[in-house]
Amino acid sequence: MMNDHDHDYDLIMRMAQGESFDAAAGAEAEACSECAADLAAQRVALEALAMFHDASDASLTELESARLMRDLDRELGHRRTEVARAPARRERRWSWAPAFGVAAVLLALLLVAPALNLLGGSTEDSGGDFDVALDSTADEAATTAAPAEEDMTAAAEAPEALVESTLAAAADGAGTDFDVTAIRNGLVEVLQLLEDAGGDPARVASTLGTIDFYSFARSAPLDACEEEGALAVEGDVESRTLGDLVLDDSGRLFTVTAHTLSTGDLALVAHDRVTCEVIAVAP
Amino acid sequence: MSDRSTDIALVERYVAGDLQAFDDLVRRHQDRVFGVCLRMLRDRDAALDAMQDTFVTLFRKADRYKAEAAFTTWLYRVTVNVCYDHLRRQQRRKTEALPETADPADPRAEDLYAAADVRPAIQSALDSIAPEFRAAVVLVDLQGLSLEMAAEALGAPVGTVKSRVFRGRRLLADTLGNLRVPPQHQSDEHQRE
Repeated sequence: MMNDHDHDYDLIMRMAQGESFDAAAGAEAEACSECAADLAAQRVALEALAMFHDASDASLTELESARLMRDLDRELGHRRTEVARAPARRERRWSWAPAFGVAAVLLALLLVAPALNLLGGSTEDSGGDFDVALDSTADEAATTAAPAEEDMTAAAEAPEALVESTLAAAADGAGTDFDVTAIRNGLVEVLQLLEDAGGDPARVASTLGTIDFYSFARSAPLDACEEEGALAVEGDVESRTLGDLVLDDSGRLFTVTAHTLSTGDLALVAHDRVTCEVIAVAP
Repeated sequence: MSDRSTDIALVERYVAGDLQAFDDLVRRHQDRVFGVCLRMLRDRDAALDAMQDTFVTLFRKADRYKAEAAFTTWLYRVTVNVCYDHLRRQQRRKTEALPETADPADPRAEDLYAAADVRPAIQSALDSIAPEFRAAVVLVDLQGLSLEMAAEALGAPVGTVKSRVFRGRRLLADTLGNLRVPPQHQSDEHQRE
């Protein structure tokens, strides 16, 4: 049956949305098969769309958000120099596997660093994802004198004996709610991985392309994290910021600093990227 | 300070040269912009690209924003236009078949919403409707804009937007295959639309 409210989508929309409407007009619409079909369609669509309202996929992850800021930085050609924001709530429970994986990447990066010019000498020619985090430290890096080859060798030969002392440092810096046992196991595994790699940059580099490695414009002042990191390791003679990385499956970013020790070994420190608070130390 | 006042203040600070204000605007609105991009473009990577393009446009054209309108409305307009651009580019290089949708006559469609996760199916249905209808539905039904705000964001009269929402929902329901009407009525409806 067709009648004069066939195209009164305003009425049908109000009915479908549960809004007030004229009862008589509503009754007329419901008696019209075409209007009833329209009404049913509106309700079906609204019911379906309601499922998107609480859809978590429509929110950016912290990683995507950080990537956006990085990409805008690149696209727009300006650099953030400082952001002193209130720290976000920290998720301190680590998932062992991703922590291990990324820690491996970090240390792998150290091995590859000589080839990429990341640790010693100028970083002006470095490219890709390393640019943003490193360019702000380029001047510092260019004026420091740590031999890259020594760094590589030291990382490859990091003694397991250091694990005990650095685990204590990690626990001190991290508070009490980290899974220290998992971190300990991860560190031992990473040391093993380094030994297996034998300091061969080519072997380690081949894995870099398959693992997410992100390095972003930073939130905290660079030297603040380096100073915090230097305090967390013993015998630090030189500190640098590697960048911000994902260290667990939450997608959260941590600032990572690298420290050359007086023994010639390297240590890595993970920081809260806003406050620079030490989260963990490796090895 | 209201959200609107905060936005206006941030835009003014940014236009005056405060880059931090731009960052703050991005952080305040990134989820909103991303939500529109994701529902318009479906693909997450494409949505991320469109979101970035939106903020690049904001960066370059913020001085064109007039405070008479809500900043969010203006930003929605930029976002939808960027999404239209992306859709046009996608269309030009599109080689994939359209996503599968439920058969309207399939009685199992009655159980559609009982499925563990039907959102991909709904997103597919949303993708299948014309961009101008989709934009209206996304802004009104997903982003919660009033018809008036959506009209402003889309640069169309309120009546037009209302019609687009109505017809967009109808097409969405058709695609979802869950209309509870005899087939001959559906055919009539298609002809009428």
